[in-house]
Amino acid sequence: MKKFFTGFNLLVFSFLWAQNNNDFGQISGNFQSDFQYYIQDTLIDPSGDANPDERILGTGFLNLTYTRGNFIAGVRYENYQNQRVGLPEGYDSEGITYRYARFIQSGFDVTAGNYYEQFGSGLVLRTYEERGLGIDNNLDGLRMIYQPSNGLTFKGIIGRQRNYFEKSEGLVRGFDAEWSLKPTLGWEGNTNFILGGSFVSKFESANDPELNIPENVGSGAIRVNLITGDFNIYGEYAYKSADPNAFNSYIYKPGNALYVAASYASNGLGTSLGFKRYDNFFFKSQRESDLQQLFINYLPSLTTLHTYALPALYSFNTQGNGEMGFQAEVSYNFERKTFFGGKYGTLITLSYANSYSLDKDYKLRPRYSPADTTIIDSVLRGSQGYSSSYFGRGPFTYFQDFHVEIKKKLSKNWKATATYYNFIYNNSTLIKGASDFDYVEAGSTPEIFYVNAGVLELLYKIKPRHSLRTEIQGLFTQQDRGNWALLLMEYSIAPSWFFAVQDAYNYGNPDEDLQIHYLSANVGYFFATTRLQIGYGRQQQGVFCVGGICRIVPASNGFTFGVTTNF
Amino acid sequence: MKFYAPLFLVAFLAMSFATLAQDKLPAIKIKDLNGNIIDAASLSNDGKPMVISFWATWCKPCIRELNAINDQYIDWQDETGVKLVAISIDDSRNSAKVKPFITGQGWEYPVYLDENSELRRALNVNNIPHTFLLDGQGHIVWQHNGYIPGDEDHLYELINQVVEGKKIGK
Repeated sequence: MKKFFTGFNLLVFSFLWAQNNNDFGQISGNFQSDFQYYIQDTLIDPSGDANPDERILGTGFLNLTYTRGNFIAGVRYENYQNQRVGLPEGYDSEGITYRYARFIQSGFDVTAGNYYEQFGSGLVLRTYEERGLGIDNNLDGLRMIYQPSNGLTFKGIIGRQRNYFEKSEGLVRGFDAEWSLKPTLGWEGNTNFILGGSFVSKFESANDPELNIPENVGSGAIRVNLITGDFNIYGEYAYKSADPNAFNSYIYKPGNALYVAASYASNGLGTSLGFKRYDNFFFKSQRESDLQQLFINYLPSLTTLHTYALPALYSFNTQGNGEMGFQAEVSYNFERKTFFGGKYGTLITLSYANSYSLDKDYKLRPRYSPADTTIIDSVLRGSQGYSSSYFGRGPFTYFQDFHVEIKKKLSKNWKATATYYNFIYNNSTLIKGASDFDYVEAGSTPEIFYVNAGVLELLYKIKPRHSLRTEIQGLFTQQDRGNWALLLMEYSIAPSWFFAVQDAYNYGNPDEDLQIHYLSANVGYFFATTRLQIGYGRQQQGVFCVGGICRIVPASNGFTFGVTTNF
Repeated sequence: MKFYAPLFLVAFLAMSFATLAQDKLPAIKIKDLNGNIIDAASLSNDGKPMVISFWATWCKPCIRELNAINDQYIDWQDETGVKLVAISIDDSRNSAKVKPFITGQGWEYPVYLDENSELRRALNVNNIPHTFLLDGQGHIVWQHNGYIPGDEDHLYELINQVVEGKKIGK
């Protein structure tokens, strides 16, 4: 690490001194900090277990980017003092977690240090940062991108992933090529055809007393994308060699993944249709690690990301060990001065998505008694796992989401959005992390929630720069925590102030002691590129889901203070 | 302690030589909706002001902002020649839906994809919506994070100041 910086500093200096003019480049950056003062709340946390001993906890991020022409360098400092309630346990330290130098010239783009990269849709490689969720799987190493001509791109990467404040045990290497036919062949018009292929492998030494574990695991993907003016279809297929690891119960079955997304958009009509089939396709740079850490790949979920608070309680997360499903969406903008459009026009969106298990036929591994050859038992660990018919539908539904949204400007000062949701939610699989094999072995069935929800959002422009936004939400289910009602009111004065109060009332909780109000209030102030926010609230228990893994965030109560700024 | 050394060094450099704040769009590759790779540094509006807005299909304030501007966009263009470029940071989970989404919304803006947030990071964008205002020479003269209804009126005042050649107070 130290050596790197010496080199990095020299590089920066040499660039600065090599030029005899006054252009010394620019430094820019951003800063974010969040603090919380926790109050013990006996209603949501009777034992006090979720209340941190520290009382006050804070996190901070500072990014600095130096740009001079084609040269970019940057560092990020992070601190977690200490682990904040809701973040994974490894985030309890401080230090430089990201630093790089990058040079871009005449078709070459070279990065040394930490970098984020994505091949295709991410089926075999994607590194990214999602700070709020505690995700950062950046690679530390080298990346070279070469574009010999317009339309051709080659990428080569090597590195080790970030694991909290340490590095992964595994090494990741990859290569990607993409060929866009239109610029290469000089096609006229809007039609384009893009072909791509990638190869990614990881190496991690193995020393298992029982199993002969492959130390090198390779994966490859091919993709095609056809685009005409209005129509677009993208398909990617990926394959991975045997990769027994803690997340697939150490089975030797090779993995495969297919992702197809098509869309047609013209004259106010937007449609999309997607299909996914992921079979044993968790790809991590370590065979054993914390749940959310060290993903090499990213499997698109093909479901809508809901952001209203109540519908977001039942969010889907991709099942990398095996799932298939599709999503269809249609939206149409009824023009103004038509029957459905009214005076200002109406936008209607219909969306359906589902996800269910693969049709698996398990092939267990018999274990023999050392004395004779009698079979003691049969286990998944070390076996071929299962075989699955490609389009066969398995016995378990993981998720179903149907929603309709109507968006309309009612008058000069009023805008409204109304949404209805219907979910089928497999709590055992999506939240508790049960595998299909657990049900098969126990002969049980998963716990399913049936949920209906509605949200009405109104935006009222009181006078220039003053507006009031209201959300009225309801969520109805016989299972889980029962019914909820939520009211949010947000008054804002552009360009500097907002005041918001929210009450989420879990009036239908089967446990009467938990039929409580989750009240919160926030004030925000913006000036130039800085935003200050101060608030108080009782936070309900929530779920964070990423990359097929969900984490339960405990309930909390307290004051929050946040700053973000850019410079 | 050794971790802090480069941080101080960079901060020191900032104070001594470099100009603070990003001046121009960096040479990072983004994609247009036809799959063509575009260099962000090449985005321009023929000497007229340009607004760069980072958004995503799941970001409600972003959509409110772009809809509010869309309502007045024709007048803005007629009066100032301004162009708004919308950069979606939707990842592969949603990037295929960007085209049908904007068609449904009826937006006239050129839209680009920054699927793995490369440009977003290079411009130090923390959260979206995040809006940049560039003058006719491509210099970033103003930026703003977040959206409150009515912010578009303030933005339009600033666009007019750029057209009139006034310096924008930060």
